[in-house]
Amino acid sequence: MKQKYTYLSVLFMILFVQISFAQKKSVTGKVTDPDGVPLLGATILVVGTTSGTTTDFDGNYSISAEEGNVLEFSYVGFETITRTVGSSSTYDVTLQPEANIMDEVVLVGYGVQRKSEVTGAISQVKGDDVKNLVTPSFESQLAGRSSGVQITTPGGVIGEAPRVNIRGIASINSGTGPLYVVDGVPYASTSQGANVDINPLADLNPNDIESFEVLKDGAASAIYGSRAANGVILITTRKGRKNSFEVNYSSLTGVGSPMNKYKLLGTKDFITISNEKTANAGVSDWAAGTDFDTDWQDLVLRSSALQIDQNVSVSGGTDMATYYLSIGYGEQEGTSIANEMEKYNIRARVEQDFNDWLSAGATIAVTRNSISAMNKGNNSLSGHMFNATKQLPNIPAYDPDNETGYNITETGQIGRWDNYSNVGAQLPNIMYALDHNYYKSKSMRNIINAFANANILDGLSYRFQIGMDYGTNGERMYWNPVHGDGSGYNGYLRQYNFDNQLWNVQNILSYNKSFNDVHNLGLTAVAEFQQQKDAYFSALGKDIASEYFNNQIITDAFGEQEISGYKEEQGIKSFIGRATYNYDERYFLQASIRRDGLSNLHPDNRWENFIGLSAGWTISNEEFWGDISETISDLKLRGSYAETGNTNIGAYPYLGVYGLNKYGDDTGYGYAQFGNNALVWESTNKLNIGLDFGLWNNKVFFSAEYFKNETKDMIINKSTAPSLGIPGNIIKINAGDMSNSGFEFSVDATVVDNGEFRWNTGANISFSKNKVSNLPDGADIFPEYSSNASINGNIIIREGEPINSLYGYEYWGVNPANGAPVYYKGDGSLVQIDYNTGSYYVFDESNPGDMSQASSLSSSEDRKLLGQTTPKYFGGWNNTLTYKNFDLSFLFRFSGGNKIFNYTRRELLTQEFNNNSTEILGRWQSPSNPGDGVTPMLWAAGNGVVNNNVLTSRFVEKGDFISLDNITLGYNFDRELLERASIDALRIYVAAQNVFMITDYKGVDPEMITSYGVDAFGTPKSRIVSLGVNLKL
Amino acid sequence: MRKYIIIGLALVMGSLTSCSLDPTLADSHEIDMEDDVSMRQFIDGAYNTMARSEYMGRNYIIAGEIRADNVYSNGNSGRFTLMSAMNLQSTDGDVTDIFRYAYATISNPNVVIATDLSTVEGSEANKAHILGEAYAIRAMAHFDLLRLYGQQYIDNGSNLGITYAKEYKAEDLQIPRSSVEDNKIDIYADIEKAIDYMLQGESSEWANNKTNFTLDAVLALKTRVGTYFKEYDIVEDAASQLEGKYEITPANKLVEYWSDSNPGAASIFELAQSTTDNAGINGLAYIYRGDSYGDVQAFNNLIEDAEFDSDDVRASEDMIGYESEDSNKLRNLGKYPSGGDRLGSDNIKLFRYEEVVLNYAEAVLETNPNKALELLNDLAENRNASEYDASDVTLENIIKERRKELMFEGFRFHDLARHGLDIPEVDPNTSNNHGLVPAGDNRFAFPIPRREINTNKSVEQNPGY
Repeated sequence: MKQKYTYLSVLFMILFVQISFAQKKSVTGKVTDPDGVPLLGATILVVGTTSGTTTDFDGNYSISAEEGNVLEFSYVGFETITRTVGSSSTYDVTLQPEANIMDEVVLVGYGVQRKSEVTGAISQVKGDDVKNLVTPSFESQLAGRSSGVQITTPGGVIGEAPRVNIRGIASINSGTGPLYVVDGVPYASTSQGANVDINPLADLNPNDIESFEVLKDGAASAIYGSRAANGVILITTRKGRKNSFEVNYSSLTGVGSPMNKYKLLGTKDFITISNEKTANAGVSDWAAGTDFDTDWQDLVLRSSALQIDQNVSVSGGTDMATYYLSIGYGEQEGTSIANEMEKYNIRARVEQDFNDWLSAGATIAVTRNSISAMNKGNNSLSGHMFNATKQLPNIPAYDPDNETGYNITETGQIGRWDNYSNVGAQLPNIMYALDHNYYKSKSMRNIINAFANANILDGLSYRFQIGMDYGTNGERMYWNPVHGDGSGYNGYLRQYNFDNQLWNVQNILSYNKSFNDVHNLGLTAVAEFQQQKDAYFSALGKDIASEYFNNQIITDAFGEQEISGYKEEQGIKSFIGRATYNYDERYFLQASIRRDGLSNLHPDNRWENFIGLSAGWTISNEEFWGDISETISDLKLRGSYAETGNTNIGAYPYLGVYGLNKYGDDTGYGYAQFGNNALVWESTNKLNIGLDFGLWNNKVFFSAEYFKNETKDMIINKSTAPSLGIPGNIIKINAGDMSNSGFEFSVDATVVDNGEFRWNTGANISFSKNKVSNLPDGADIFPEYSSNASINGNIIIREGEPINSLYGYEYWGVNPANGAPVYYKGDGSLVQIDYNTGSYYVFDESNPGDMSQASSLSSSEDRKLLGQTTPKYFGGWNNTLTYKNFDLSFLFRFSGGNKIFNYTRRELLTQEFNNNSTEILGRWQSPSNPGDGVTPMLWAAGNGVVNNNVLTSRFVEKGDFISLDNITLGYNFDRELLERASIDALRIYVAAQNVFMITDYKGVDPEMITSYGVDAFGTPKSRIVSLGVNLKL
Repeated sequence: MRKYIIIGLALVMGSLTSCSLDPTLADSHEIDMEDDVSMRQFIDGAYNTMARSEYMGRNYIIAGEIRADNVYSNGNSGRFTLMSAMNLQSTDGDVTDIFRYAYATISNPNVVIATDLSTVEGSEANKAHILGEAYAIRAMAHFDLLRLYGQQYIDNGSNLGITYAKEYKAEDLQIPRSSVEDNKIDIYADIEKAIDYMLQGESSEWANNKTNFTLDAVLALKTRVGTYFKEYDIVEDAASQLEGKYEITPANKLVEYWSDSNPGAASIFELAQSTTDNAGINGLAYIYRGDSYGDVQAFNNLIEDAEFDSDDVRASEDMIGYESEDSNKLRNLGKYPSGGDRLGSDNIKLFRYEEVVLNYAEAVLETNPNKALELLNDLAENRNASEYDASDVTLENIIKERRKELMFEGFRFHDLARHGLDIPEVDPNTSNNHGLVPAGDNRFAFPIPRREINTNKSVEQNPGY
């Protein structure tokens, strides 16, 4: 109906114009993008007059003009074009998107710059590239899309935050994650939870994100100096456009299943192996009974994990105001049957121009995130993967004859069935635990930002902005009294309440002016203040009166009650100045200085200055470049140096801290931390040299970067002698130096673009090198990253080596004569172990049976470096192809050069009465049946002699891989068809994520590792296939 | 209009610059021993550390048992297996933990000792008593460390003892190990100071409190130390001061004595544990019993091997027996009994009068055998055991009586070691068996933890590690 009127009115107008006015006539037409989508609010000006108009919802316009007038059509993000009015009265115009990526605007922190003016290393990722993918939080989808940025998703547990490292690991003890800034306001990104992982970045709805800017080098991030040691990720959210109205709806439904699983023994092999262990060691049989062949892994993992995502946004604006409102709902099931998330997001944003010089706006974002999780400890008897992979396969999970329905005994064990022994380590029935215990978190995040902007004078503007970030998290954890973790307590219920506040105020004065068309000057001054308060309290009840009260702490329902809590505060004050200057867009200079005061340090050492300098030369803008620009359209050299700091050092690292401890019913003090007033800022000096290189009107665009980041005065936990009695046997001092250096290359190209078929490709690769250059007294550090003592001690931080190297014995193989493992000593000679005594003897390859010459294997003398855990290279290859109405995109990602301590693999070769991986089938059985040459003879309860409790190179593997992270195929319905239903765009798509991985790694996933390179019973990631719809009205 | 708004904004800006960078500390603060109450809290912090499972809350006591002939580790949860097999390495967790927490216990006392008490308000008696406690804790922790990590007291103690920590600081302090003889001198000196200050603090409100060190507890410690160094005059002197002040627990009260949550009449010093402050599953109750941990199990023939009389209450089925009818694991049932919902909430009885009686008897064995006989029979009577004849008053019998009386409390290994006896093999068919360990074997001493060797360059490792 509406369409009809439009046609009628156009027709009528044409007639009217023809008849009535010969000189000044009404010109009409339609403005569309290359896909034929009408552009709403495009501006049409009659050049040289004040007359102008904008297009309506259907892209139509009408303007009166004379023949010979020039009409200028412009639209944000599109190239402006002109048409001279001739005899025709209808000018339909198709605007092309701004092709030259050098004119794109990028955020640089407290302001924006055109990409052509940038002298630092900044990578940009568009929000559209990463939406429509199922992901608990947005940052995991940035993986592989930007050089220098390594993002690792360490497993399939929803809520577990991916690790983001920009240009390597810049600190040993302090934070290594980047600073996140959303619409100019720092965003709290550290998790506030106890037993349930929650990722604060998941509170940001990926559908609301317009673009990401990754500030990698010092110049780009220096303006965030004090907090930029680990790089900065700036996020811009969507907002409404003036004179437009838009409704977007997207919906996605997917199904996930484990990408890979541990390969374990079935009952038949399990019994053979178990009784071979006992027979070799001369003890009685362990295993018997073949009634069951339980795949515990299948029981704890979901074969079809549901993923739902629904989003609606309404946005638009008038001449003076814009608005954006979005509502999102998401439901995701994790790979584990106990793991799921439900999420609601609301975001509202309004901006209003009061007059030609004053504008203001505000954003409110609210997120509610509920997560259910489980015990996933890598050394915890009820850790779901630890337990499921080690539980006996020849016993059932359920027992209909038991009153509980589960296979459990009255004395708290899992029933052994026909076996002669109970399961090793007394593993409980994990199905009982997963069905009766729970780990739940409900977090709420409220973010309120407001700003006012005044253009005081020509080129001078003042912006005031305030951001409040308030988050709460209520966590509940319950262990059932009957079986498992809670049986020792007769029931255990713990509740936590976390309360986190951050406020940030910024005053920004900026001045931008061009003189004589060639001198372009920009000045920025900022005063910024931030305060953060984090607190929690927890209530714990043990000895539960009845399981009925398992949902919430109830008054007097528990025989024993405990409370605990803490509060801490941090503040930072900053004063910042930045000047940018360029001459004729050829020579660029930028300098910034920042002075910061940080509450985390002693008042005497609190204030520090951070400077940044950078320069650029756009050679292609020189006059001598001339015709070369037809081929080499852009050539720019950039260089920068800047100082940055790390504020993520804990709230009170310098203070001598005393904690409270109960002694009986009295309160006592205990030492908690030894103070050090001399502690100063941990800082990183960053050097960057970059080259940008564009060909054929930037259809192909290369960037190359060299960087060297030197972290100094690292705050190190220096080990003190235990005999000094210092708490934790550590003192924090500024002592370590470390460097990260490397090269990064990226290329973006439009390979084909012939109207019907378009192929854009982007690839990047980064080579990175980490070196610890100085440690206190040059002493090795064995960091205690893990609560698992079998892992600590095998990771070393040593001067001259990359951070977190693997350290252990070098493995030679199995003695073919007797099946004993053989190791290299520090001097290169070989030793073998005697299974009966645990003593070492010299191994002579020519006489392998000889066990006459006593030797040793010493953890202090015979261990050596077994490889670095940080990747030497990584990158990605991203493609988008469109053909007519179809679009196809896919992303490959790769990484390598790192070594992994496959702790899981060693544990699954356990010599206790537990299940094993299929690798154990390759064990040495006899001189005539020596197996795979790697797996020694079995020996009941002999983990120390068979596998060694110290890391050996046998369990060190390469972490190289290539993965197809995602592939999406979409179809856009024809516009003509949609117009009849007043729909602007409709796209349906099918997507697959975590499609496949090519690797020689023997574990489940070479990415499923800790930040220090240990594979420790991770939960496999899901392969997700999803269907979705994008609808635009 | 425009001007006013800018002024308005500037005012807002001004008001928001006043944020303070001085944090308020909610859960921790710099030590400020302003009065005797805060001194008390501070020394209680040391008892709390002492009561941790890594030290007296479990591991130290187990270390004194599991390397001898009473108990072994069945490895049910993988705990104490290496200690049981006497196959320790310098990197083992238990080796490191006892060392760390025994020394951590000394930190607070060292700060108290270094404090100028004239700046502290409160009763002089209280202040003196706490200072006495500080010296006593320092003496006891070092004595414990010496017994585990030092060499045996032979050759006039010229061999390697332990590092004696006399101040709390973290500078590049590198304290070498003293000789055993020097350790002995330091320990005695601290004990004497403790006694001096305790006497000054006799009127203190804590002078008769059995959950902190008292004068009597220091005297009991002195008998223990003296017995270890075989300086029997010292033992006799200290023990005689305690005689008559405490009672041996009668036979019919023995089970109750151990299960009572308050210190009984025979107790001289106990580490307080409560329902909210206890080691829980990491405590003694959980390691001696149950199927979750329950690693520390008695040898099957323990009752015969220890030569208990048939009516001896210490071998009654409430004290040593089986947890259930179908169990075949012989258990310590009577000592540290709290299980279930009060798991691990027993006080840890560090000094009982019965030990003092045995120390006394050993001290006067040569010089006053009649007294020794009287003391031994006092104990035997109260245990429903047959009485000793004068001819039975031998060192061998005293060692046997000590085994029966102090079983599972962490004395057995040290009793064998200090008398230069072999560690016998009891049952070759148990797991984690150390076999026969001849007297003087290097394995008698724990290794100095690797962590200490790495950070304290002046420290020497024990032979054999």
